[in-house]
Amino acid sequence: MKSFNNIRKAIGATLVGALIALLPKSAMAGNALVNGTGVSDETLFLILAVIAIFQLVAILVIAGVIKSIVQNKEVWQMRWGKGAAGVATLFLLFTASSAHAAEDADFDALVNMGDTGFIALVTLNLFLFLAFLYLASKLNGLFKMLMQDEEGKVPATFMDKVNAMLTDAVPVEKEDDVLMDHEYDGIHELDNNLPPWWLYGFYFSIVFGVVYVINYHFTDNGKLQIEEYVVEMEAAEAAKAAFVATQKNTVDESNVELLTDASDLAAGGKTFKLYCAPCHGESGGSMPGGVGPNLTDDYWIHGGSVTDIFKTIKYGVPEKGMVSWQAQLNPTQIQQVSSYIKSLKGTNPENAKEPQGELLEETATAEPTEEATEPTTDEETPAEEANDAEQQEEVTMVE
Amino acid sequence: MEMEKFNYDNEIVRKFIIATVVFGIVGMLVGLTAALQLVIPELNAGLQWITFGRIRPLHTNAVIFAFVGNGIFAGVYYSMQRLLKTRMWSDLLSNINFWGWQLIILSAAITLPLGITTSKEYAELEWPIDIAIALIWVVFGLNMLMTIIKRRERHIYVAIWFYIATFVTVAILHIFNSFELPVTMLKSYSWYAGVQDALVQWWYGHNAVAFFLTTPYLGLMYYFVPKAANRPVYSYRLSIVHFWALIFIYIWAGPHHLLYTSLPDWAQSLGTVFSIMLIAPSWGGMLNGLLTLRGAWDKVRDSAVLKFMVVAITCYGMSTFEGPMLSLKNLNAISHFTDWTIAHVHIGGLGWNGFLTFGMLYFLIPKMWGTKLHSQRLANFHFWIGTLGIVFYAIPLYWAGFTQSLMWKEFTADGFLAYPNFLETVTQIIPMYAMRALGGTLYLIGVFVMVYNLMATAKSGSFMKNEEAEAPALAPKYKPHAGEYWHRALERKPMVLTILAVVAVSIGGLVEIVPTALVKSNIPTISSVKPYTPLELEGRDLYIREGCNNCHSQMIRPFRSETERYGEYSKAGEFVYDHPFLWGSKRTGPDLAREGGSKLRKPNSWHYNHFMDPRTMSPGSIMPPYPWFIEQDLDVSNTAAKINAMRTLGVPYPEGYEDQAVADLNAQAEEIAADLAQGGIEVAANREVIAIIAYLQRLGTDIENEGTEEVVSNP
Repeated sequence: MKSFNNIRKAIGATLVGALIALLPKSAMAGNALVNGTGVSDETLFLILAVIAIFQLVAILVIAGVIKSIVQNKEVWQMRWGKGAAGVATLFLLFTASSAHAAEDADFDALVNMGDTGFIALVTLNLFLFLAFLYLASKLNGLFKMLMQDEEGKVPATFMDKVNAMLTDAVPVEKEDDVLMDHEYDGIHELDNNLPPWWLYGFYFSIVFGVVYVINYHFTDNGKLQIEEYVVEMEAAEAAKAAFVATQKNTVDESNVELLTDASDLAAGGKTFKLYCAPCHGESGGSMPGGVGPNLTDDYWIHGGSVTDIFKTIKYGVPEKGMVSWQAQLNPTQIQQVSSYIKSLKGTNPENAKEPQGELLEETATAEPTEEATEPTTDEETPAEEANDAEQQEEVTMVE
Repeated sequence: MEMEKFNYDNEIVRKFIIATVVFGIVGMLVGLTAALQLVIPELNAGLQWITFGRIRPLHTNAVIFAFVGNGIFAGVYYSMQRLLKTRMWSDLLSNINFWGWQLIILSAAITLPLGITTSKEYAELEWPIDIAIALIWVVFGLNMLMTIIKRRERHIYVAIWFYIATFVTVAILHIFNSFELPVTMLKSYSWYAGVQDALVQWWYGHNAVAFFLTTPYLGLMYYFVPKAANRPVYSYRLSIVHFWALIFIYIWAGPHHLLYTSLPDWAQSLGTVFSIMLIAPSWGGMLNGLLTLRGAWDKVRDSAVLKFMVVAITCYGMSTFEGPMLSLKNLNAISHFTDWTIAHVHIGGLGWNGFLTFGMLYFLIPKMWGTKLHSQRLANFHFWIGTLGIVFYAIPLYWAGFTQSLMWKEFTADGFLAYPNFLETVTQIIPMYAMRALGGTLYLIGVFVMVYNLMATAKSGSFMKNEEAEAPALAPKYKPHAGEYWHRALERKPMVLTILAVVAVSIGGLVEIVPTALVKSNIPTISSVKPYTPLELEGRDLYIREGCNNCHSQMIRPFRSETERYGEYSKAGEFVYDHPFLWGSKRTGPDLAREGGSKLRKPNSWHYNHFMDPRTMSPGSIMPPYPWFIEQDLDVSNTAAKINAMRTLGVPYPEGYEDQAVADLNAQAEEIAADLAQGGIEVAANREVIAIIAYLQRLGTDIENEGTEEVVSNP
């Protein structure tokens, strides 16, 4: 029986170790999610993976022990033992297969998955921990059963002692000792002590409260929400700048060119259907009484060159109701949509909105394009569409 | 010692039980309808009275004040008479309490669908009903305190402490949160504005949970669990410590509903730390409930009553742990405004309040009708389908909340929102909404089974209207036991205990609310923020009438994911003229704080089409159409009175402006109508849609004008 006690102690220590290992991890999980910056920190992943493997090994060991004990015929006949053995076998199988899978897993890919991979790892660890707890408790029960003396009494174990210390409860059999002498409509009360784990938990929460307030309001350590926001934005700007630096051509209104590739136009069409169609119609021709103007005719309110359209989409024309899209669409997407819109010219969809564009003098000061002021000028006739590229240059020069 | 004979009044308990069951079913049916509307928006059948925005408050009010409220009264009237060994002090007051409460519920059921609402959550009822609530509540309290005074039991039991705390605190909360200036019989404006209104509202809202859904039910737990299990309460000392700690700490926690808002940081931090400190006091109640069942777990297997109570107490423990966790800033940043909160409150509502009520009813009806429960099998069926219902309700919503929040926050590598279109994050979780409705249906089926079971039980027995009892009268002199606990003295002096409870619950509220109202630096003003025009003010009242704030927040939190999506984060100074505040607590639709600002501004015609049918402008939207905005004329008969009321509340409309208000309103309406006409939309300028468009286009524009620095004005 002595040897069982030693195994039990070892398992207890493992349990505590696993708990301690889990704590900082969950704290980091919170940070990662909130910062939204994604944790691609390899060391963190490494730690998580090591913990997972560590837990797997622990489970493996316990499952093995349970299996070997339960295989002992005598114990096997204990009815609950079968269940535990079954579970142990399952875990052995599961562990073996996941250990195999872990070898094959592309660690880098997981790291690059950012939050998703992170959450997956944390979840895995959590499940493993629960499995570990379950098996450990089963093993404990098994030990207890093995250690029963002839009268069926179990010697108090270490965990029993810890349990008694934490709850400080008078056992049910002895509760008459603490029964108070009053009753209300037949309801009696016991005079049990406050459960120590509860009481110390309460004290701890009060200490937490004090430390929290000091941390955020009396030291420079804790960042209040606006400061936190500034830091978040700076980090995001830096990350964005770093990313943009890796891209070769960034499109903006100074260099945007008309795209003619079918794939670009298809992508632009897709974006158009998703974001533009509600106001400008599925066909781009809007509709009578529609919110946005017809984009398929030759009349333009804010200029019809690809540069103009790019700018209109990017910055919007708030006073006319055109929303700025630069926070929602990236420059390439805007370029694709602009090109797609150019490709709609002359499609003459049914039930389109009447031409608009005579409002030029109210709006545009920067670029008095010919199209808007004088809808009937040559440039606007479909026959002249081939001149688009030239127009574009003209407009750019005017700017 | 001479025994006195008297009767317990069971009739009043019977009445409250019937009301509990009836309104439980009504409230849950309304909730199910609202849940289904999120999956099938057409379900309001084009009727304005049953749109989501109007029936969501009906659901919350019905289940909180009608179902749980009547449940409280039923349990309190039953247990208090027996714990104090006396009949209620006045049958008349008991009946006024009953009929008055039902009338209040009836008036809520009429006014809320009509759009008569203050918009403040769980306090939506308008001022005349508020006054009625206060009066009836005092009737209840008076009857209770007088019953306590003429008791035959020297000491008052822990259940009664909780009832007393409930009475005094709900009275304080209700009265102070309902400070409002009447404009007409059915319209008022909150006394407080913006940040202060938000703080008072969530001081109230959080403690409505604490002192309407928690403390009275803890009292019921302390009576019905030991009675049903026939076991002594685990620890008298624990009940003392957790009672006082609970009522003292709970009051402080309100600001955790306002983390990352424009509420001053210090108030937010108080909300967080007191929420954490609340775990142990809450769990004290759970421990005392569960540990009372020590040595009786074999009974739990056989008794449906105890099963319901065990799950109820477990759900209480879970939600009182989850709540404080959600009060931590980093978790709140994810959970707030999502369905996570809805899942959380339903663990408490369906589990704790619902199941404890059911357990109590299964216990009471056989007792009061002198018979046995008609069918244990059906009660067990109710238990299992109810539990399954809770699981099916909560898990999809946790999933939905978490998913949507991550989608809101996700950025692409080149710094763009991964889901810039809010709607994408909604359509993603609609299947979860469907699952949730299924969970609710299961739960409701269980309730119907219970009703049948209880009615069959009552039929098989005979109701004891007046239950005979006897007890010795209290001796005029009492000599305390040597060496008794100091708290025993307090239990002999219920009025002292009542006063101490008032002191305990007042401190937190005073420390948080008074400085926010008085210290100028808490609300820096912004000179470019101006009062609403009369048309915008009327539009804002339409927004309140339709309950838009039930789905749309007006509070942009200082996160990159929100400022990228909606624009600059919200500042305290932007809300100084908002009586009431409209920050909302849930984003089923996008935030509207800057709907008129340059980042989000849409043409008037977009809004017009969107109100006609949201899905033309936002394909897949689950917002219902609002065609009545276009059919109904704007009521301007109270515009002048509204301007006057606002001026009384401190909004700087010049003297005499009320005479000019309607003319200004018409002029602005004509402009919008003309703009719509230009886009080919013909609509009369006096229609409601013009006002609501004017209001939406105003939102978030002030801060883009000159003078946007936040200034701490000198007192």
